[in-house]
Amino acid sequence: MVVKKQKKLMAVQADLVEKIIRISNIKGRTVYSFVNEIMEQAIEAEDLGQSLKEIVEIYRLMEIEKKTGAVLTTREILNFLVQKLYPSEEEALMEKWYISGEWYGKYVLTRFQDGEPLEMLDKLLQVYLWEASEIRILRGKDSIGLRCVAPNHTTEETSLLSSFLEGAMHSMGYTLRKRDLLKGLILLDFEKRT
Amino acid sequence: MSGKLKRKFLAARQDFVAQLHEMASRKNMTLYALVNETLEQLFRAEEMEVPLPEVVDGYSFMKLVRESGFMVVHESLLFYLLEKVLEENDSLADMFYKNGYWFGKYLQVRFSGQEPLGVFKKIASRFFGGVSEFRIIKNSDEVSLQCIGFRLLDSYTKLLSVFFEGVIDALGYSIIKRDVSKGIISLTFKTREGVE
Repeated sequence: MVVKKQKKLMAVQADLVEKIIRISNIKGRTVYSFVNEIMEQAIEAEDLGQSLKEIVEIYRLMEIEKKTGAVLTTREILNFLVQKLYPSEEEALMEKWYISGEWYGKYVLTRFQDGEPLEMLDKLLQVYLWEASEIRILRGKDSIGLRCVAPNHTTEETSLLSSFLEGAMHSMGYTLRKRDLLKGLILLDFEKRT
Repeated sequence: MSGKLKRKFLAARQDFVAQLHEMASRKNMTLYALVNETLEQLFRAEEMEVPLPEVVDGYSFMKLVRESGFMVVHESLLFYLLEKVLEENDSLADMFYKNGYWFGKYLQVRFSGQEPLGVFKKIASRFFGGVSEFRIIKNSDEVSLQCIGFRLLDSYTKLLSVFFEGVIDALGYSIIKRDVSKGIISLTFKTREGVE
């Protein structure tokens, strides 16, 4: 015997209700089952430790990252590769990371030219550098500070990441004014090019 | 002057409404505001043309791969490093295999009682960049894995295939057929005795 779940009414903004009805119809669903599915997702999101709003935003950023050619690899593999090459090819690797960063910055600038590219870069870096405990872009009047804390990063990774970030900022119109690097710690200051 | 927005009512399961009510209290919000915000997120997902459950799934898998030691890197950088190191090093394949094996075991532990193969399928098709098609088909005691990625380099295809072998091996299957060429991976496995 199927036990029917009890229903309850929730007050909602009228225009949103109209939209829900429209989408339910397009999907061939009842409004009731569709609303339940949405509410269930909000509860599940909370169980994952984030709000649904944050999850949708992170998903959107992940999709943008994928379009820039971001791939996954294990930390062990990446470290192994960097450690193998860095001693003999430091300059070439730094250049490669810088160029990749330049492309990334250019992409962000082009894709989000109508919005706020720096704000977007800040958000995307939160997803791109998910192993970092902190990544922040500090905005001054004519200057920008970029801070990254990634305690697990090796000295080599720190240098390469800094090079990537410098490339990104350069293509977004900023010149490096000060660089301070320590293992797992990046402090960069830029000024806007006139 | 801010005109008050009109309200209407939507029905939902009572237990869901009760949970939302608790959630709203924790967040210091009204139920009305929380439900409106939730619906707004549905519309954002619809704009991306992705069903909301898939968005939440995607996030939970991202969390999982992050917690299991993966990191994001741009494909041009990874491929550059691989090409350079492969010229003089053959232990890389072994590392990919071991990393895959570890990840397979991790999935087995995290999803014990569920179907780790199914979880791996979702993760691989979503997160392994450059992969345009990814399938895992299970037939009685055999599992076949097919992966296609036209942009994949020859060397990366081989390494990715070894990684997949590691994962499936950890889940209790032995490789019986391997067909790998640039951008195309086709692997067949058989259940090992004693493994369900």
